[in-house]
Amino acid sequence: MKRTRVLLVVLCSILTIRGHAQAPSDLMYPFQESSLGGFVKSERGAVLEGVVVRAKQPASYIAYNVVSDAQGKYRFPVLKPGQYVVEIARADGLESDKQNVAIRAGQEMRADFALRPPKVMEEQMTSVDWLLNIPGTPEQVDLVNDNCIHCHTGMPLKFRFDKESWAKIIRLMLGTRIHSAQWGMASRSAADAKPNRELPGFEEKVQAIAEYMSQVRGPNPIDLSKAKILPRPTGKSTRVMYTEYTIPYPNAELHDIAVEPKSGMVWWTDWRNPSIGRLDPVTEEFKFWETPVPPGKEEVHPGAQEVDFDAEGNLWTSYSWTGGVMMFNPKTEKFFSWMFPDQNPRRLMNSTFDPKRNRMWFGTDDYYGKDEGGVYDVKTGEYKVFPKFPAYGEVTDSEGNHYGMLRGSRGSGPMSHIGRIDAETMERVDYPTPTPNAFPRRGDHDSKDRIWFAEYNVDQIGMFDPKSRKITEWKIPVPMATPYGTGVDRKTDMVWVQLYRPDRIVRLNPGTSELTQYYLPERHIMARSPRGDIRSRMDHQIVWLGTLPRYGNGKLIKIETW
Amino acid sequence: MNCWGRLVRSLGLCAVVFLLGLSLTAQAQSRASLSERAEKGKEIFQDYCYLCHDRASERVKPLGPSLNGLFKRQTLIVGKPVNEANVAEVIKTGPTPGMPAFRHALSDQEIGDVIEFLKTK
Repeated sequence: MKRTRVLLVVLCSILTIRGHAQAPSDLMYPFQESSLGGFVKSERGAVLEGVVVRAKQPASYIAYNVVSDAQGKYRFPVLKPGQYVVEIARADGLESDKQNVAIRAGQEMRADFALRPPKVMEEQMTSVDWLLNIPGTPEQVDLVNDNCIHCHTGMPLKFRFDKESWAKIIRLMLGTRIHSAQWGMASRSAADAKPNRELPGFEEKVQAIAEYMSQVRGPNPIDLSKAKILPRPTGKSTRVMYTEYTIPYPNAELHDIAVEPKSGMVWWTDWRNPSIGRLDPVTEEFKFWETPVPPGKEEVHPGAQEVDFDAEGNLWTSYSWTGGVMMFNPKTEKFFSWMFPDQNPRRLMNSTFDPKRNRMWFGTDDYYGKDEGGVYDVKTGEYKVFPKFPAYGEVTDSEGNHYGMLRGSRGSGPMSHIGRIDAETMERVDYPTPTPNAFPRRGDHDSKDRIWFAEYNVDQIGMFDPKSRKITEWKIPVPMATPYGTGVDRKTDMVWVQLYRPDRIVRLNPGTSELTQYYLPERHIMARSPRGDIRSRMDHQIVWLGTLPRYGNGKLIKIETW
Repeated sequence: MNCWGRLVRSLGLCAVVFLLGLSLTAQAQSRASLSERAEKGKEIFQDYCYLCHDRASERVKPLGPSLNGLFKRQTLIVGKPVNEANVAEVIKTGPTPGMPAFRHALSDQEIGDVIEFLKTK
């Protein structure tokens, strides 16, 4: 009897869950069948290639996106039956549009679009499009580019204020040092940091930016209807599908993600909230946990950045804002945390884990001019600090050798180097980038332990070869490409780099030097480093991306190309 | 109990589990439901207001005052009574040293949507 009851309960449960879940095999390329397709054209009937079309059930946390081909045709795989909103997710420079479509089992529904010029161009453009088209002197454009867009990407495009109101906002922003994060909020100046607003020339700078912003985003709109928009990626770039998973708690700002190499689970850290979480890519179920307060450091807690795994599958990350190391055991769901033995308030802006030696490499922030790099073995308590190691991004290769993407800053002076620290000897050697002032940002290693990194200032991808000790660079053919997050899909050794201002991602084939651009499915989403999926293969590549968007909630995005 | 009886009992148990699930889902949906205007206002609040007036302000020190329970208060920070017209005026004019004037950023309709959402907080 017990067995009958158990069987029936399990059967009921399966039926209930099936009602909510997508059969994942339906979404694998090539799509044998389709639930929805159509054509995207201009209002005058011209074919529009490269337009991203999204289909989402209103109450679902999952959205599917495909791209129109050279005939303007788009085609989704089999979707669960039900009511969907089908919308134009990205067609930069054109008005978005949407339709309600009822998907029925066994049928291919059709929804065609005829896109018009936008009512408000600023709502349909990226930061690059805006910066390339707004009137003003190069110095004025740089004021906004350097002071606002670096952190806020396209946020200024959303607002229109008079000069007085812009001045209030800019005074707040320029006068705020982001020294920590308190539950999703930027906090005010730290006690030991000089507030920016006391620095000479502060108010003059505020007024200069406010004056310009009130001209280009002020009470009277400027005419950008003839703006030149970057062309849409076409050809091979349309063979892509994006599946977006909205994070299940409010105001999520994912900073880094990692795919656990054995289970394929996709894990994330949150920059501003003390949460880590994971998505099971097969069942599409989320689970997340609140991280514990680090010992003796209650005053500043939230947020972490890079995430790695040890040989047992334990997750390792750092307390970005407090300093300290955290481990999470997914089997027992227990956290363990350690502070530095000297309790120094090091803020770990980045970290990587050496699974061979079970030790954490870290880099401190430059806001206080420390710019230290180092390594910490939490089990023995031993740690070593390398002064003037201003790493924006860090990579530890499969042998445990450590690399810092070194850039100039207040504490260390001008640098544009890849710093290598040998795992055994701890000898440090810095290698300059061939292009000066390249600003190496995030990086990753490939299956041959070559180090790939984004050169943010010069729109290039760099690679350090540990055998020849030489750096090679590739130019990205997009204006203001500002490459940032970098990841290598080590199943294929394809290099994926997220482009910050154009809201795109580019794939470099190191064997052929071919660069393929893809739209990201949303503008202003501030993605970070991509990571490869364990099921990725050359004819069906899969990478993941985490986002900390300016509008809406953070997402995990699965990108599949073929 | 014979086999048929056991099956009926088991099916009954399944039905209870299923109905309990439906009931919990319905309760959750009921708690989360907002009017259409308040729903739009919530989206606008997230984009325009959240950074300074975070809703989860029990755990943070917001840059501006919390707006939880605003319409249960007697007066606004500017000293005027809390009502729709005065809240709309504050949003439009930004009367405090830290708050910008949203009259060029949001339409009257959008400000009304935000107010509908603020009433639910």
